[in-house]
Amino acid sequence: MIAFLKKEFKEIFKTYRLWVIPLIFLLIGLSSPASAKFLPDLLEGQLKAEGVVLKLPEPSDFEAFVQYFKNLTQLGLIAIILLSAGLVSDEKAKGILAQVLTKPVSRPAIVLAKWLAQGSWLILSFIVGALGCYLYTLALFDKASASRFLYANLFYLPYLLLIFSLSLAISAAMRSQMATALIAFVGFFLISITATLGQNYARYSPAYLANLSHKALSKSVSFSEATWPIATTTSLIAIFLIVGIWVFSRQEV
Amino acid sequence: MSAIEIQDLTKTFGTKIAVDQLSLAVPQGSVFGFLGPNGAGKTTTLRILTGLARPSAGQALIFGVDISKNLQEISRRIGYLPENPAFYGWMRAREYLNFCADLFNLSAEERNERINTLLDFVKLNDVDQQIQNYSRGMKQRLGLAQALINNSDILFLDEPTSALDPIGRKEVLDMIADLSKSKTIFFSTHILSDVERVCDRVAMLDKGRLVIESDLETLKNDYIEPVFTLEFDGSPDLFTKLLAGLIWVVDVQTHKQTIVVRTNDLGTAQRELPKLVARTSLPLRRLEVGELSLEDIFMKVLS
Repeated sequence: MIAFLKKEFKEIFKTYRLWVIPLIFLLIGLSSPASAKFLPDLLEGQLKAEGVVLKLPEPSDFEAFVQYFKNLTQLGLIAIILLSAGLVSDEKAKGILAQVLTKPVSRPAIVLAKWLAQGSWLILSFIVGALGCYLYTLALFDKASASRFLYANLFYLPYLLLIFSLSLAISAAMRSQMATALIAFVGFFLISITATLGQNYARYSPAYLANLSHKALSKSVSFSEATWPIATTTSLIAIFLIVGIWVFSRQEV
Repeated sequence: MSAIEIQDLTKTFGTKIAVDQLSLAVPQGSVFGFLGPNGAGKTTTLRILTGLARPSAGQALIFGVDISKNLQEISRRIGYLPENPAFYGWMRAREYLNFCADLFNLSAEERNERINTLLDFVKLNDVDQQIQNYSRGMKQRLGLAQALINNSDILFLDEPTSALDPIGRKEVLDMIADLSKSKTIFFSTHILSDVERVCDRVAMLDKGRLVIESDLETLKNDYIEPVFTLEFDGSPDLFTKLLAGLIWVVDVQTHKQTIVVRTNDLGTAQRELPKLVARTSLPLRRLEVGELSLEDIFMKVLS
């Protein structure tokens, strides 16, 4: 396990992962307040040129943060799936793992080391993006509620880790990066729609955490409301990893 | 005890039989050539022997231990060089070997000494570039080094020279010859000249089935069939006519001014051929007595 952890962290620091993952989050973090601030002006200007007078309400830090979480769901999670789809499957396809697996190694350790190392880097990148978003919002709007934004991020983070774990587990079970990404997208879609099942069921859904993030930006949300979705998210992360490791451990590589 | 013992090993993929009731034993300290045309089942057998694939039936033992029951113990005693060794391209040779040493929990002192020795052995000591920039030959040599990191007792080599240029082939074969002094080497290939050069025992596989298993000398003696090559100054047609109907002549092939005569009676052929040449009065440029090459034997056995 330690050998693989060392290797995974080295890989992060020596490959494109070092800057690509934080950069994606930072771009989302910086572009969201900018679009919230300037899009109404651009729209008004465009419509005025066409002879339509439209007065949109003055945007606030709230719109900037809402835009940030929208972008995270639309772009960030897709990027996570694409970046983690090859973590195991690509090493299998290239024959790297076949060479390694003839040595005394534990297959669960390979998957868990990837989850820990790449997951840690993902969390750090997420923090970089969130900080960028907060500071740029503060610069553009002169005010930004740190506590509301912090709560919103805390609710969102387990959901992000769930999508990462889903993609990694499928990668452990599959041999192709493309197939992994496709199945992970289907999984992501299925998890997303569970938040639309109606309040009775939706409040247990991991995707409900994204709803809670949005809610936390405008009013206070008690942690008790997040207990169930966090519990199901944590359970699903564990289930995904166990199933991925189980399939990988029985697979001929 | 044999280093490797395979008993009725079978591997199927759906309806396709890749390895069909294969049984063989590899003595300790031998260099065992595992021969067969492409698709014969060599790589599948190697994958089973290294624990990467599971047999559909039968069993494989390494030093008497069943692979399917104690892979962790066995993996400490074997090294494996796949046909296309693959690495983390961002690493350097020393880094990769360090990673492999980590997997075997080698102590710092042991690992440094072994890595230095291995890098020296595979001539990568002075190379300081990422593996992704390596040539095929360099990757093959690094592949050999990683297979030796645990000072393995058995080395499994899957077509180690098939994609190399003549210089790369010679380098790898020299290394294998060097290693054969201290290890059992199980060497799959379809390049017969490589087998003749380094192996002392061979098994031939065709369509998943064992066709022959023998030591190289016995194999050559069993299939010995002297071949005479005669080259004339001018057309050898007259000489060819004299050979027709002789009972000690098995086959005659003519290529321009050269005749290749196969015989089943070496003594008679040695006595009679010079007499026949004298009778024709044809000027003889060359007379050579040779044996069937391993390639000829291989073709003969498979046909």
